[in-house]
Amino acid sequence: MNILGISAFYHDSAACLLKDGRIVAAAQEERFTRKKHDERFPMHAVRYCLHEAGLRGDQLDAVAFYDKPIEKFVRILKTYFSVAPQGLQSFMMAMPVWMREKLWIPLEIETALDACGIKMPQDALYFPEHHESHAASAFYPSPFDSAAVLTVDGVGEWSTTAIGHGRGHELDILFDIHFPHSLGLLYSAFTYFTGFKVNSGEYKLMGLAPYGQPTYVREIYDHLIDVKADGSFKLNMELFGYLDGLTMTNDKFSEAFGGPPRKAESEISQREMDLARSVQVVTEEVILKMANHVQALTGEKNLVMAGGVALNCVANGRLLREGPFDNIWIQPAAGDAGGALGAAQLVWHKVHQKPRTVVPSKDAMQGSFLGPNFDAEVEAYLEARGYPYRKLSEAEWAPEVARLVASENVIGLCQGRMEFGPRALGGRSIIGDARSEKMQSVMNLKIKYRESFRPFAPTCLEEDVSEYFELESESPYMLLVAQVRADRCIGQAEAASLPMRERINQKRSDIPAITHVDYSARVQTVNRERNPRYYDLIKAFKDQTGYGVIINTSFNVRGEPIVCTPEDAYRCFMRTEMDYLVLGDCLLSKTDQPEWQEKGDWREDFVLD
Amino acid sequence: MKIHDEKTNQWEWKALGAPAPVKKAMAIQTKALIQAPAMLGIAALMYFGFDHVVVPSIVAVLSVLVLAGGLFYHPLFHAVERGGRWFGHMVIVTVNWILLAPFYFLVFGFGRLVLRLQGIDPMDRAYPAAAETCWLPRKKIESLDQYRKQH
Ligand SMILES: [Fe+2]
Repeated sequence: MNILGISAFYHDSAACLLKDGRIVAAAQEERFTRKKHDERFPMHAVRYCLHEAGLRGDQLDAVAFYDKPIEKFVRILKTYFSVAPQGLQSFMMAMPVWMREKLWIPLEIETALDACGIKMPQDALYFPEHHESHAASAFYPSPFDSAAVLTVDGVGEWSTTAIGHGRGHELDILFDIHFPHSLGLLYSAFTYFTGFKVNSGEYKLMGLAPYGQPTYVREIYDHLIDVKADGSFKLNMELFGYLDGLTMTNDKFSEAFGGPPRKAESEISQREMDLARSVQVVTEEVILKMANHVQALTGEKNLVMAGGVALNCVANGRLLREGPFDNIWIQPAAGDAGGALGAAQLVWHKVHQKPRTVVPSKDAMQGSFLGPNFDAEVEAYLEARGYPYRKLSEAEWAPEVARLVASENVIGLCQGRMEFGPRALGGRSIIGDARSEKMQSVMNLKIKYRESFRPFAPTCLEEDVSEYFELESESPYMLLVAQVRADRCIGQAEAASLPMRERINQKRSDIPAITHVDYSARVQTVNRERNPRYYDLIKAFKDQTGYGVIINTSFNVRGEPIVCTPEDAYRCFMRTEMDYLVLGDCLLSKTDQPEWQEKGDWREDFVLD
Repeated sequence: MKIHDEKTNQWEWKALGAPAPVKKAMAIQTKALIQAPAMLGIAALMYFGFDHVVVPSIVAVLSVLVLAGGLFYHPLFHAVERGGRWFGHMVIVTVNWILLAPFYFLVFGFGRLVLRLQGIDPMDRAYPAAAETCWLPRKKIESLDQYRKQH
């Protein structure tokens, strides 16, 4: 049975294909169209999924859309019933889109599939609820037979947070919290207020938090959120703008938090850092309470999570350290893209009552390498374009790339299948030497063209994780933050008294490029089974340097989706100051390449996030 | 070029980096030769049929500009075309506002008043929460048919 899962029309549209319950392919549309967070119907991703599965257009058995559009429309109408005569501008913007597109999703899907040459299966279109799709994406591919389930995001139809219980192939949502009361929207409100873009700047806010002090925590509890002992909560809508206006916060919010929102791209002040830290602390505390509650309800020792807030790896790390669960598994595509996967899995396990096969300690995500693989075509492509390259044999590939990393080169790595989800995990990554003192600023300013405060993440060999970090478990999807081991850290006592600019440039450990200002790191562990080539590379680096850890950041520049094809990778390589590019077996040196000629400023292609 | 050809099941991934094939646009001269007489016809109908003077005069002048621009000076033709598109967009926006704004105030404004009189807030904004917990119990899914519904 072939089930196509689709998420679309809001942000991060994606497609996923299940073949007899096995995840065969999954990809986000933005990677193909090169439009970040592309919300349009995922035509390219759908085509890719069918191709990967070797299916013809008439071989689909079911299509699952990741939410219930009419329910969402009802919520929007009820919002206007609760705020009119305010809210006219938002109504004028929303209604034409709903009338034109979002109210006719079955028709939209059929038309789009038809344009892809795919026959819509008869009477087999499904609409699971948004948080049920998230919950399914968290539980079904997890390595647990049974688990407590927690999903937290901005909003789906009505739910903004849900807790549930998964056993075997049964999955039940037990309780939820309804819009407008949303932990995700609280975090987004602060993202907006500190001058970042909602829906993409949340990561920056999390990265900024360690520079600040939690001085606004009391204000947040006093003015914004009423949290109960069981982690449920209500927001004080008097201070938010998203119900009746076009902004996340309003003037009362500004009054309570020391002035108007920061203008985008303007100087970041101590206030923004303190706000970031404060909302991060509150988010962590609420999540911990919710986790305690769902543990008490279900009696489980395992927790699975999804929803945009589950990408908050600082909160996840704290949950693992301080929470009531022995094991936590987080869906790597925890945002709405992962809804496509969850929706398809719900149809397989719940509608068709198919059992799960759980392999302990091994999830079903295949390392999240569920996208296209171009390795076999790279050589022909480079020959056709006339780009100079050197083909590496299997034996020399890892030691040679490791040698270049160890010589402080910045390397673009495009090998194997593309990752599904927002993190690059070694398939579409830029890598560098974690021991280098200059790497953080070189990579931020010359490669990624992004803010200098933003930290880089490490990948380390799974077996070596506790040598570098205060972490005992694996973290294959870069969704946990842990402290760098104290015996590797330098100058912790003095750091607190230094101004921010000096703290950025301070050497903090013997792996300074991936040690954030609070001596933490967003850890990815790699084992040979999930990504053999990437593992071999780091192993070779360890053999050469004694360090089984490197920098891993996504292969893109600010505002650009992560690269998909070798063509995207080559373009990004030539536009930036990367030194080498690895495309499958082929190694390209920047100095050998013909001069890159491009009309106009390519940075205008990307909207800054 | 199609990115994925479902007949051959070929993945033409290199096409992803290439611009989509563009349909051959109609020559500007041809466009101008069709549009200008059509505009002139509309102007004549308004003048002779409905006794209007100002609007048909504007349309007639525009038709001359379209013809002259299309045949002799393309930037002029493009400027008139852009102006036309902007005008069309503004008409749609205005009509939208004229139709939707009164609808909004009448239906939602009145609706809110009624709900308020009944003490109902669909967004449950009372703050802080009076109840011990804000968790809402989820209704059990009675039938798997629920998954086929959009609501
Ligand atoms: Fe979501």
